[in-house]
This record gives sequence, C-alpha cells and structure tokens, in this order.
Amino acid sequence: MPVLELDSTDIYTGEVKSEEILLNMGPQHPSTHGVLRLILRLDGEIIKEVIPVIGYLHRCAEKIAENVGWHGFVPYTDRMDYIAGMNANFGFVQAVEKMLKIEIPERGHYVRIIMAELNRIASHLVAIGTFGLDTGSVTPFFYCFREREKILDLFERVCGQRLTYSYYKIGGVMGDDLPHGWMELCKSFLDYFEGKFKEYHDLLTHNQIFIQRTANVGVIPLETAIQYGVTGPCLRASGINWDIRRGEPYSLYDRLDFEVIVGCGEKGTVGDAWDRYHVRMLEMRESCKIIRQCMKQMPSDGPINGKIPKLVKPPKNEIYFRTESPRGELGYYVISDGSAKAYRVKVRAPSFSNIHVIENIGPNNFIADAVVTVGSLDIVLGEIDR
Amino acid sequence: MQEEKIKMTVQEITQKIKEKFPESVLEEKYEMLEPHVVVKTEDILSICTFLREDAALQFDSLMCLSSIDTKTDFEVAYSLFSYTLRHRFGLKVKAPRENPVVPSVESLWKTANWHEREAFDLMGITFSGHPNLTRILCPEDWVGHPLRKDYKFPESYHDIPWGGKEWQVKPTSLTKQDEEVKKAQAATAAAQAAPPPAPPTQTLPSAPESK
Repeated sequence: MPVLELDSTDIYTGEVKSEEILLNMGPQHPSTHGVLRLILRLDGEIIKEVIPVIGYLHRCAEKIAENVGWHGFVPYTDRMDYIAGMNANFGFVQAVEKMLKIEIPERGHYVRIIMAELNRIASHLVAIGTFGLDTGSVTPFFYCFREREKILDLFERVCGQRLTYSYYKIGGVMGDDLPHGWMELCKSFLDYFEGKFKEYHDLLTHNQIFIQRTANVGVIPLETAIQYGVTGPCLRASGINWDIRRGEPYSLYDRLDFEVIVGCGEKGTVGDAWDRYHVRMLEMRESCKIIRQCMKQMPSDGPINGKIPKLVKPPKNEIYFRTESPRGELGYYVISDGSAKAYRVKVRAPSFSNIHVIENIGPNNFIADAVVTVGSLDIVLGEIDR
Repeated sequence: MQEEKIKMTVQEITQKIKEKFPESVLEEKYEMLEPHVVVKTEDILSICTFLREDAALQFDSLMCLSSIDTKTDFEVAYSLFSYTLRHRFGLKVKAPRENPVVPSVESLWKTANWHEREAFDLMGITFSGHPNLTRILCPEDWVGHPLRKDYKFPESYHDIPWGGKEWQVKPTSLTKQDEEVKKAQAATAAAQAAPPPAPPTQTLPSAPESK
C-alpha cells in the first residue's frame, strides 16, 4: 500500500479565524408562530443579538376603527387576536359600554365571562400544544387540539363561528339566549376536561426531557419584565401576583373566587420557560373553576342583552380600558368625539410588548433556546401587527 | 406590608407634580373616564423621571403610549401604572402640527421604545433622544403617516396600483341604470304576456340495429 506522505504545505499553520454571521429566522418559519422575523447575530451557536422585525401582517386596524363605526369595529378586534377572539371582543365592547354608561343584565355578564374563560382555556391549549411541538414532543399537540375542538364546538353552537366569533356586541352578546341545553354540554365538557389534566402533566410537566429543555431557559427577571411591559402569564411566571381580573376587576370578576397563579421556579429559575408553561397549565384549571362558579351564580332566567340606543354615539370622552386576555393586558385607548364613529382607537396588544423582551433575554443563549423562548412567550402576530 | 402601601388618586398625584414643577401642569381633566393632566412638552422627561423615582409614586410601568391627532395639533398620551403601589395615572403632552417633537421616555421604560416607534410610524411624531426611531409596522419606504387625519392613501406602492384609475369600477349613471332596469322589466312583462312556447318535440334516437 502506498503511504500517504504529507507535505508541509498541506498543513495549515496560520491563525484560525471565526466571524459572526447574520441569520434570518422567519418570517416563514414554523416556530415563530406566524410571520415574525428575527435577525440573529450569531457567534457559532451562541446568539449575540436579536432584532425582531414585525409588521408583516399590518392592516392598520386603528385606521379602520376610525372609519367603520362603533359596532363595525367589533369583528376587527377578534381578527387581531385570532386565537382568543372572545377576549379581544370583551375589552372593546366594555370600553364602549363604559363610555355610553349602559349596564347589561347580570345574566349577560355571566355569559360573557363563561365565554371568555372557555376561550382562555382554548388559547392556553394552543400555547401548550405548540410549545410542546417547539420542544420536540408531538403528542401533546394532538391532545390539546382534541380538547380545543370540543370548545370550538361549544362556540359554534352559540354563535356559528369557530375562530373569529364576534359574539360580543355593544350592550350584550349576539342572540337572545344561549341555545337550549348548552349549559349541560358545557358542564359535561368541564367534567371531561378536568379529567385530562393528568395526561398533560404526565406528558409534559413531569417529563424529564421537557424539563431539561425548558427549565432555566429564557429567564425573564421581574425587573426586566416590568421594564419591557411584559404582561399576563409571562409576567406572573416572573413572580408577581398581578392579574387584572383580580387587581382591577371588570365585569363581575370581583364576585368570583379564583387563584392567581404565580411562577415559583419549581424546576429551575423563577421566570423561565417552564414556569411560563406551568402558569398557563394551572390557569386552565382556575378557568374551569370560574366557569363552574358562573354556572352556579348565574340567574337561570332573564334577558342577557341590555337596552342600547339605536344609534351608538358615545359622548365626548376618553378611556383607557384594560382586560386580562390570555396573553396579558389587552388595553383599548378609545376617544370619542360624540359621533357615530370612533375618533381614535389605540390597541395596546399584549404580544406587542411580550415579544419586545426577546431583545433583552435572547442574547448569550443557544440558537435552539431562542425557539423555546419564542414558543414560551405565546405570541399572536395578528395583534402585534394589527 | 401590601396593605400599608398607600394608593394615591389622580388629584393627589397631580398635587405632588405641582409642588415639584409649579408651572408645568397646563390642564387637568378629571371628568374624563381616563382622568389625566396635560403638561408642558419639554418637561415630560423630568416629570416622568420624578413619577418613576419618587418613593410615594413609584410608577414602574408604562401601560400604554398613544398618539392622537386632534386636527389642530398632536397629542401623546401616557398611561402609567405602579405595580408596587397599584395606582395609575394619565399624562398628556401636546406637539405642534408642524414638526412635532416630543422628548422620548425610552430611558425610563423600555416599553416606550416600540410604542414610540409605532407613534412615529403611524402618526409622524418625532421622539428626540430615541435610540432607534425607525418605522416599525409599515415598510421602511412607506410614504406618509396613516393615522393622521389628513392622510391620503397612496395610489400605488412599488408600481403596484391600488385603487388607481385602471382598477376603479366606474359606476354607471343613474339614468342609464334606470333605462336598463326598465328594459329588463319590459322584457319580462312581454315574456309573461306571450303564450308559453310549445314544448319541443323530442325525437328519440333510434336504437342501433343489432347485427
């Protein structure tokens, strides 16, 4: 056999150089949960800088609000946060009702809360399912969507829609009453759903692979979270007991008894991706509790819609009304000049500030962790870009 | 401990600002559903620093930053909230229509970074001292600021027409429409008056001869 002889010129003796590269993650990428683009400056596998680029879904809904009238803007709100359309409607209609100074019947309030909480469960199911997908476990995704499907069926019975409901209207909800027998269906769903928590805990919460993938990843310290305006489950995971449903109760949330879930760093650091996941997981159980209480407290008979004027013309006023959507603080800054159209509507979308924090927590982490961090923030691009 | 902390009303907070900055408060609007005060534009950064740092106020978060076009001038509304003391406050500044400039509060609350970029993008308000004041929602080469009340939608973007002349559906004049409707009505009336046409006699195709 010929012996391979190495010439001295074959061996590279110079300095080994490395350089940083720029990588585009998205806008078309399955783990950015929509058309989000992240420009990553990489040193090998380590991220040095993250620049989020948004606006691919921009429709200028705030300009539309100035042109379509008060009732007309309600369908646009659930196209912003399309995963939790009920909650998006909820904030806007209440802001307008506050300006009109109208009260809706007690029963209407309870129906609204039931729908909002059901939608919160559905939204968290999507968040958990896709988060599992991001971390490499495929099964929870199917389990979550199996349960979500049942909630969508319930919504379909109520309003005919499965994604963009537009169920709430100024002065109540669509339709005169709930369909016959809907409450029993909802109750049987809750019984079914509460039995399924063990499956999720087995599949994800106590799964060692999942814990190793998410604990101590994407940690948001409380100080940073407040600085960047992070709200909702992501803020509570960082260890602050703050829920707008409890802190500034709207509708009839002050009558309901539920626990505000706070992250405690059970598997790692307070405010890591696992905590955010776990807060959502436990919040679903609290939502079930709220729905059961609503069913018990709700008057069995009576109207659900309030009396509103034929022509909605709120007097000259300004309001900043915020509600707790599944993603966080959904605020509407509404200005009326006394006409049939809004003068200005500014939507303070929770995901808008939640994704901003990635500029701070992304750097000096592995590129694979960026995927987990984005997944754990649970963003909806429809409301970021509006 | 949580109970001992004192929540302050908007009036009390305004009083504190007045003590510190005697000439800054221009208007007080408590009758609004979102009670707020209008302050001098050039003082906004120092007032916000005071609101954030003062031990009795501790506004550690900026909930929302909105821009408003009042047709005569621009306004920027700040909605503040304190997570430690759980009270809220509204501030507002005005900027002239020609060359609106407002000092940036990005150094106090990082939330303001994107909200100010949004206000710059959609309303065209410049925030002095902002580290990266670029468009955020619209494309970088977009012309104009859509949320201004006098905004005119561009007819094309990158030679892609929108609502241009060739895309517009020309409405026919009313009289012409009326004529068409009349013609159609006359035709249907005539058809109804005329006896129904005899059913066409059907001739069945003869069956192929079997060989």
